[in-house]
Amino acid sequence: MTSDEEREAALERILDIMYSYNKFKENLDDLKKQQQNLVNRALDQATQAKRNSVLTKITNLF
Amino acid sequence: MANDESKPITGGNEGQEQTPPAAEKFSIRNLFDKLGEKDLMKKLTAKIFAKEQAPTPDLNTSEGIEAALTTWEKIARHFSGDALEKMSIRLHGEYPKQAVAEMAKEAAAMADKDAEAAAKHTAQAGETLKKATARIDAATPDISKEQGLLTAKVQLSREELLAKLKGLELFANPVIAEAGEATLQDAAGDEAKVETAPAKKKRTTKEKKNKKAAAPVIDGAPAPDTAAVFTPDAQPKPKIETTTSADDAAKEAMRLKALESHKLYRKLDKEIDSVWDIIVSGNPTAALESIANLRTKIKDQEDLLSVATNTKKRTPNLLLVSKLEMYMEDIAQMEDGMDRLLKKTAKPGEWILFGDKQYSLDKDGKMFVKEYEADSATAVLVDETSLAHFKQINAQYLAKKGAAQEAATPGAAPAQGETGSAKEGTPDAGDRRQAERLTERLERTMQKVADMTTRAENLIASGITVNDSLDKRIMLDEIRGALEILNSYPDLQKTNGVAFAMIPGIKNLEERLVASIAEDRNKKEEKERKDNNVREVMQVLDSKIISLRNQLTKITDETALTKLEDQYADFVRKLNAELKHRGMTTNDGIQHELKEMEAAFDRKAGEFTTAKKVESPDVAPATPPETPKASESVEVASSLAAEAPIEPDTASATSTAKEPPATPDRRRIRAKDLRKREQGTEDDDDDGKPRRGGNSKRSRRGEDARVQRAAARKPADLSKTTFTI
Repeated sequence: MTSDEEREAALERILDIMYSYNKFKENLDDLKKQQQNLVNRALDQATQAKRNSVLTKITNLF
Repeated sequence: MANDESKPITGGNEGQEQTPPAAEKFSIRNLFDKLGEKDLMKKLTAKIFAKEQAPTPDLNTSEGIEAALTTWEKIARHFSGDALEKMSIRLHGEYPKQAVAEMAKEAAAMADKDAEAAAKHTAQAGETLKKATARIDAATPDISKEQGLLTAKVQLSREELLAKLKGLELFANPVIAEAGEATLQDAAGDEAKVETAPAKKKRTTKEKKNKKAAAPVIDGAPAPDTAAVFTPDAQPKPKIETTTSADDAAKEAMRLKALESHKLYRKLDKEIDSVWDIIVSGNPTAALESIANLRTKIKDQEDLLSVATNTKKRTPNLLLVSKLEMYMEDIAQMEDGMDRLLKKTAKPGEWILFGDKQYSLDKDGKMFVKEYEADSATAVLVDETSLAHFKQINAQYLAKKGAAQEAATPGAAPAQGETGSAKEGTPDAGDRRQAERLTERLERTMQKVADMTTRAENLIASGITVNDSLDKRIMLDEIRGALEILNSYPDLQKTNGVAFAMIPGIKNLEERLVASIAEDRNKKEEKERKDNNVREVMQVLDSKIISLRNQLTKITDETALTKLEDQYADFVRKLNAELKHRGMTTNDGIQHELKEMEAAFDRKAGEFTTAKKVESPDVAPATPPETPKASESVEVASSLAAEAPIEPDTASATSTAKEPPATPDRRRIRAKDLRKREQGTEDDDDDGKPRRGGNSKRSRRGEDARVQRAAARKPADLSKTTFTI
């Protein structure tokens, strides 16, 4: 028979596993957000470059 | 064989296990209720809240209990109801350790899946970054400093992204896998104990207390047993037992060696991960060196590794046997991957850029490495391609790792260890379990194929984008993997007709995906060719426009203006012809440049018109100003005329007498015509006939005469269209 102590220890570990995965998931979501911010930043830079290019071209023409 | 066939090791034996009724599905709430261990819940809740550094709710109140249960539900929400229910059954039955092992496995599988999805997300983000870089490059062709600066910024973002990716991949496994490993470690410890101790000896309560007391102490408080889950290096301390005989001492030594062996496996797991990490970081030299070191280390410690896998009288620990094989497969795969990568991503003599290094191969495949040079114009960024390649290798690695874990029947060996039973299983028990595993694997593959088919169809229909193309390659890899699995089943036609019937469909899908990828590649090349065409045309257009503008600023009479206009019209005709010849259509950039040029002509003509009004105030204008803008022009031109009176010009006066001056109206009409012509909606301008819809106003002003003159001129070479006033 499984003793209460063994069962308790197992349950404790199971809950710890769940907790550990939950934290992992939270961190992963956080990283995804950071990643998206990086991409957005790069896209902003590209847009800015395009804008600068147009301005420079116009300046050169006149 | 110590397999106890009288006790189920999978969830299929309802005869002996209490399966909850359908209406009473598992919930974290009834888990605590069933166990009747409110004290336990309080203890665990306090522990979790302490970890979160949040105040523990008062569990003596219903609100506090509700808050605690809500927290637990939140924590458990990622796990499927089936997995939790199965765990609950195990926990209530005689297999709590198996329940732990299964939950650890479930968590590890979910984490791997999440990491894979995150890596895909990262690859897509990389593609977006690449597009952004391309946009910057295209936007700033002649501003080297700005381009360099912005490209460097994007490059920096990319580096950050790769660093995050590394974090994602490595983070996924150690934390969760550690949980499984810690459990297995315990089981292995028990197993070794069974090996050396009397068969039916059970640990006494006192021994268990001793074990708890030996656990690491953090901040003065006894650490929970689960500390091993969060502390990679934490090991259950070997229990020191007083031995009275030489046999006992030998057994104890054997047990310690077994523990040492298990510890070595855990270390190797981490080292393998870190070598993958080095490969992903894009440093081939360090990666190759690490792979060689790993191989040497495994070879040198072969004896110690074999201790854990070769236990006497018992079934070898399948998980560890598979692991050892997997290590060697990993190493071979790493070496093969590096070899393929270096040959695939670089052409001989070409420098490629990955991470902070530049690499090149000579024709024999010998590699050269140097630090990244910021001003290097020849290095080619290969991040996404290489990344995708790495990801494929890594995905295969992860898949194999998962398969090996499955093949080891989680809980099978630990079950023997934890029961301590010396009962032998039936001779064919292992075979039966193996057959069950293969059947489950086949069913999963079939399900995967069904899912993939829909996704693949959507991908094939999606057309070409860089992301789609990457997805298709990944999908192709998955499809081939599934095909390989199905083909590995002998007599599949007899054993599973449905699965067998799937094979032709999968092959067809594979062929279509290959064709679709090839088609995408062709389309991409075609697009690049068109882009090059546009770039060339725009360069010619830019230089011509600049030249025309310079000439326009020097013009002082209307005759010269008319000539310049003719030259411009001639240029536009040639431009249209060139575009047609190249099979191109006009883009926004071309249209914008032409409109700007036409506006400049309009302004110049406006100056002459208003200047004339100032010089001959008595002469009524042929056409009254139509718009407020024209009135403004009059004011500006008047002030200019007052500052610098225009000298009479005989030639222009003659010219003006023959054909009316260009007015803003006329320029606008001409600009409109040119745009129409550019868009291919205009009649042939050189036929001398009125255009569609007619325009008597323009005819009165001598437009036809100008067109005829322009048509009579021999077209000059596009690149030599110079004009002298």
